[in-house]
Amino acid sequence: MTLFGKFIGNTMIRVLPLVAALAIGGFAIQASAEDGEADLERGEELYSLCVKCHKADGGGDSAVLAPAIAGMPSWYVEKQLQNFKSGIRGLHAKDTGGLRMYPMSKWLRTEADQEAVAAYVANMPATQPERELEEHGDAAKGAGYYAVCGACHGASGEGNEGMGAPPLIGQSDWYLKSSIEKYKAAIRGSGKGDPFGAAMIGMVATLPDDNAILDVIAHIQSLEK
Amino acid sequence: MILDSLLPAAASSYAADIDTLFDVITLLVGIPFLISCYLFFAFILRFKAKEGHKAMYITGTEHKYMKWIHRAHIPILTFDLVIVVMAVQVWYDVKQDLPEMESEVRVIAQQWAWTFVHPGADNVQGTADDITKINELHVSIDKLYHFKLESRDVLHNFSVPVFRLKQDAVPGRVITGWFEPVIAGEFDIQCAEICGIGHGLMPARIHISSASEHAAWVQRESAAALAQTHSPFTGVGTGPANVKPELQLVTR
Repeated sequence: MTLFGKFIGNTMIRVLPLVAALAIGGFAIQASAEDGEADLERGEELYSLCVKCHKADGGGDSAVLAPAIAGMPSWYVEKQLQNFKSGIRGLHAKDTGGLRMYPMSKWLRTEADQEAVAAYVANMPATQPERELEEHGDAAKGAGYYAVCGACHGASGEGNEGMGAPPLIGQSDWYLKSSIEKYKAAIRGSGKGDPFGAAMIGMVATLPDDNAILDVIAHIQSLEK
Repeated sequence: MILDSLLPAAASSYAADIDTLFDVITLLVGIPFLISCYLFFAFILRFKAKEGHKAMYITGTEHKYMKWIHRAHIPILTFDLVIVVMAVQVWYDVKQDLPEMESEVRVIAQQWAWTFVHPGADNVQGTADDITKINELHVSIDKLYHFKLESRDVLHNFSVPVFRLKQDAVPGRVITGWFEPVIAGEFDIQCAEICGIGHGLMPARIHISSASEHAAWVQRESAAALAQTHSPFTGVGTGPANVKPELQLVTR
């Protein structure tokens, strides 16, 4: 064997295990990502765009129609991002806030990015948004109306992934009202491929008027205390 | 046309006039520019510093020097006049004149989407069969449209490059304009005024179809709009039947 041949041979002996280790490590990282471990660093990086409206603490901003999202479960955030991106949610002429989210969701090009930002949002400490509605309902009356909601959202408003129902506690009153009104007018929930939204359109029909909406919101807010 | 290869298709009745104006401006400004560049560099090289040659100081106030400036003014002012006269003519045709319409569409801009309200089979705006589409404008070839442009929030600009059309959308105002598509196809619509973080994600498409294809689309979509109006889900006070004339905002 020539001197050059020996050099190449020795180098290969030293380098090959390193290459193998890196390759195995790489596969392991990829496998862990595929197994559903979201990249929180990537999520934080992506969230910098959301900060403009949803704010750094995820507490939202009613002035730009951005709800509080901090601490929302990742399954729900991810599902909503998918719905916005595919146009199932937000593509309605009267859904001003939704039409803002529809293009913004397109920033998240891959499922891994959606997963990462959803995990980051879920990892944020929940905020306690202040009351913003000028009118307040009667929580005691609202408890009666809430019986229907509780079947999916839980008696304590904690949400239920199996039913596709997000937590309601910790949510801004203006956003709850807006969402109920949008469901009532089929502005939200009427997109093709949104069975939970379609179910909500039926559910909100049990709230007969504006007072009932305020009452049920008052009850949901009382659940936080 | 000189700039044909650099411009998108000319799809409106006035796009060719604007393209002609582009060409005229390119020629009248471009040729003197090239001549000036040539003279500039030629003089630098021709009269560069030479050993033993003293530079001459010229105040430029004598007639024999001033005439070269005055003579250059004549074609420049003439070219300016030509450009102004042609531009005013095109401006009048596109922005001032309002030919009689055959149909009307509402164009509503918001952060960060376009809502287009097309008249239904009755060809009348503000009725139950109106067809509302997000980020999709459907029009017929060889039909003169008026558009009513509104903004829900901030300044936007309704820009259809193939029409050579740009019009600001100003909150609180309804701005009327017109266009007549002359070729069929699917083209871009864009917002040409920075309108917030999602400005770059605000594209829409214009679908220009033959008269028969467009009529079939209107029949199909207006029937669907009427069906939606009569849906039990929309009978709650803010459904499409009640809001279409004003397209009331859901602000929360």
